[in-house]
Parts: sequence; structure tokens; C-alpha cells
Amino acid sequence: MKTNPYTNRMDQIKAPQDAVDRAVKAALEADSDQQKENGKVIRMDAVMNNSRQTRRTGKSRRMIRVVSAVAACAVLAAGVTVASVMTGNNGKGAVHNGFSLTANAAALKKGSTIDILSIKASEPSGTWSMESDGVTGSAVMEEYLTFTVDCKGENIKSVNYRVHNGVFCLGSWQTVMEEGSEKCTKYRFSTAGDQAETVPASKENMNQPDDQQPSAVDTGSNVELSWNNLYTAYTVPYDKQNMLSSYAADMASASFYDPDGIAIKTDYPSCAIATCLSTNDKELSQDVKNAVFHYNKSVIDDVEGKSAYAEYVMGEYDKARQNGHEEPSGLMEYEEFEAKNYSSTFDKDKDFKIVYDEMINDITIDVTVTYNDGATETSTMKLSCEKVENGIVTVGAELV
Amino acid sequence: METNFVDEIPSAEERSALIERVIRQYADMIYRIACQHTDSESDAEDILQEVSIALVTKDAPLHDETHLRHWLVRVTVNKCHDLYRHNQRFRTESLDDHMDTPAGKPDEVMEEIRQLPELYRNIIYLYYYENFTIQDIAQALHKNANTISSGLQRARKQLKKILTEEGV
Repeated sequence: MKTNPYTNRMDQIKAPQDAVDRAVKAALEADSDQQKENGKVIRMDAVMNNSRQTRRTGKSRRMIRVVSAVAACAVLAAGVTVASVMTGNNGKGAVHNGFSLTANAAALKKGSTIDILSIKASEPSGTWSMESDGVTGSAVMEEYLTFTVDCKGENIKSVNYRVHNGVFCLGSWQTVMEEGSEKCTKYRFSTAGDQAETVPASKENMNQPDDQQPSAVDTGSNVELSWNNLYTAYTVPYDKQNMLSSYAADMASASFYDPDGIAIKTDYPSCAIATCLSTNDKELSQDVKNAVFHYNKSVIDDVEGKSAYAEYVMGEYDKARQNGHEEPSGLMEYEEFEAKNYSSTFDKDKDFKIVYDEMINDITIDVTVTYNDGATETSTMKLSCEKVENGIVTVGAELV
Repeated sequence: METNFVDEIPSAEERSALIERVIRQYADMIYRIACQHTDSESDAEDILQEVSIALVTKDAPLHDETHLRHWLVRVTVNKCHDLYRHNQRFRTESLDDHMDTPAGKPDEVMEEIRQLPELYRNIIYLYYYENFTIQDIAQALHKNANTISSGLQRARKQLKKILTEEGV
């Protein structure tokens, strides 16, 4: 390691031994609980309680998380009691009691849309990235939809999830079974700050088989794509559903907001779906550009968020340099640059609704359970953008 | 060369030993990253604990040290994001609980570091202290390698004084 004042200072920072001991104890207790629960879902309330016992008291966020976890479990328990809805039973003569689906602890129903998720459109969490091209009028916008999804039933061996018009982003994939799982290795998953765009993300090329993907995508970062673990379908053992975590899970752990934009639920979503909007339509492109402006403006207005904004515009810096332009000297220049592309006629909620409708409304997830006797049943979940109020996007789901 | 912690499914005792070994091995790394993001020792300790719990509840890639390091970096950074977002909304305590400074001197180095955008802080730490390659950092932070490379250059410029004092 090179020696300099930086590394010297880092050398002085060491985790206190008692803190390490507490961390080990908390982890082993959580692991022990998990082993005892072998074959059952992970009890988040137990994990949280383990965590709380060994920490300082009086931390408000701990209480909020525990309350959230307990509340989520209570709603989940209520949801599980709702009659299950199934389609496509191939039965094979066996009698099955069906299965129920919950998304973010909301029991899904057939023919009735339930709110499962809310997204703060201006939340500077880096969970969405957008690009707009003021010259050609095209625009690309991406968004993560992250939520817990649970399948409950009896005698179920495994559960397969298949998404249409979106891509699953799994953070941990050790529990994913090969059977029925399909990786999507060629979709370019551009995160905020990336600049090496090769092929615009689009629903058309999002989850096509490899041989139907545009070859130009190959010039992208294949290592990165592999690491991101994108799946169009995955199968997970029934008793290990909750061991999955999504790529965006920790980034977007607050998945519900109240009307004032305050996070009211904290959880670790097992499911993250990347969706995108790619358009050459002039009006829609303008909506995306305005959304970009709103997003960045909200970050700029937040002094502490400037680093996040700087992170985002790094891609723009690189593009500018590649085109032979001088590197912009400050954030304000970008604020001005984006203001030029902003239309004052932008109606935030109305136009966000148009954009999010485009991204969300055709996403469906087929959930297929395989029973211990080999029989399978499938239920399909359809997502929709229900409303946008004060910049809060509400995502609904129903069984179809 | 990659080192595998385990080659096969361990017994409960072996798993516990493995978990403890991983936490103790990486505690300083997690804590340092957290300290650079949180300004507070107690918050950094909380993050260390939350990452440790996530290690067992989130199916961490214990079998592969390279991926495990990436996983730990990413989860630590994400926990810092969570804490930042929470503090924006619910902070009830002051920031008097700052990190200790050596010999009572103003902690100029940490102050300089905290002036950096978050991504730069992560890049500088992983590159200079943990000896991550550009590609490693890109994978750990889920960023494009070019982004990391250009970010490293800019971070170097901003930290020129503290990085060149003893010749980098």
C-alpha cells in the first residue's frame, strides 16, 4: 500500500473491539434464529429484535424499523388468510389448496388492484437514471420497482417468477435454482453515472433471448452485466424465498411514502424489477427531460445531496470530454444546461403519470409454483401506475 | 488469487466460525467506509452491526472472497445511504459525537475527505487503501469502469494535497 497522509489517517481508524464483538454476537444470534427457523421464512421481527438487544437504546430508527417489520408481518398474516387465486392448474389429479401471493405484504386479488409500492419521483436515491438527447428528441428513462413478494401455500417445493417487459435484478442469487431460471445477460443496465451507452435500453430488447439481442450490446461491459445478475425468470426453493435480495434492495429499502414524501415503511425487498422507457416521441421525450430536470433540481436544492448530483453528472462530464468540450467547472453549469431543456408547461403529477404509465403498465409477472408431487399452478400479477400525487407515484398490482 | 472460505456446505459450528472470521476480518474495512460517510463513530458501529446481520440474513457469497469483498462494500455503502436518508428525516441527536482526532489535532484529512462527493470517497478508499483495481471498484459499486476511472482522476485532483505530501 502506498503511504500518504490519507492512508496514514485510515490506519488510525479501526473498529472498536467491543463493537466488533457486538456485531459478531448479533450476526450469530440472527444466524441461529434463522437456522432454528429452518424451512420457514426469515422472521424480520426476530432479526430486528436481535439487532436491538445488542445496540444502544434510544435510536428512533430502530423503533421505526421494528414497528414497520411487525406491522408488515401483521399485514402479511392478514393477507395470507385471504382466499388464494389461481389459474392454470394442471393438477395431475392431485388436490392442492392453491397458493396466495402478497406483494409488500398486500394480499393480491383477482380483478382488484391493490397498492403495493410508492415511489418518490424526486427521491435522490440513485434508483433511477435517465438520459435525454436534446438533438434527436429521443429519451431514455429507467426505474427500479422494488418490493417484497411472497408466495404462500402448502406442499410447495419451489416458486418460479417470470417477468415480461422488465428485468429482475437479483442481489443475492445463491438460492436461485437452475431449473426454470433464465439469465438476461445482454440488457444494458445503465445506472446513474454510467456513460458508456451502447444501445439504448428499451423494452423491445430488455428480455429478448440472447440471439435476438442487438449485437452492439456486446461492446458494453459484459463483466458488469454478469455481475448485475439480471434475470428474466428465476426459480427459488419455497422455503428460501426470503433469502433472496434484490440488486436495488438496500438502495431502495424505503418503499412506501406518505403524502408528504416521508418514508413510512422500511423493508428489504426481495424483488427488484428494472423497467425503462425509450422513446423517440417528441412530447414524451420532453416529459422525460422535464422529469430529469425535476430530479436533478431536487438534488441540487438539497445541499447534502450535491455529491449525489455530482455522481449523476459524471457521465455528462465524460460525454462532454469525449466530444472535445472542456469539462464543465461546476454543478451550476449543469443546472443551467438542464434548465434550457426544461419546459415550464410541465405539469409534474400529470406528466409524471404519463411517463410512469409507459414504464409500468405493461409489466406482468407469472408466478408458477411446483408442488412436491410435481404439479404446477400459475398465477399472473400485473403491475400498473395507479396515480401520481405530489410527486409520489403509487404502483398497484392485481392478479389477472 | 481468489481464496475460498469454504469448499462445501459447512456444519453449524463451521458456519458460525466462518461468519465470525469474516466479520472480524472485514470489520475495519466496513468501519472505515462507514466512518467516511457518517461523521459519527456510533453510527459507524451501527452500520458494522447491520452489515454483519445482513451477512447471515441476506445470503452473502461467503464461498467466494472476491465477491464477498464486493458484496460487503456495496452493502456497507447502501447502509450508509439508508442512514443518510433516515437522518435527513428523523435526526434527533447532534453531531457532537464526532470521530476522535489523533493527538487533539484538527482532523484535516478527514475533513478534506468528507468534502469529496460520496462516490469519490469510496473510490479513493477502495483504490488507495484496499488496493482494489478499477474493475473491482466498478463491480463493487455497480458502476461503469470508465466512470470509476474518471472519478479517480478527479478525486486525485481534489485530494492532491493529502495524496502527494509523501509522494504518490
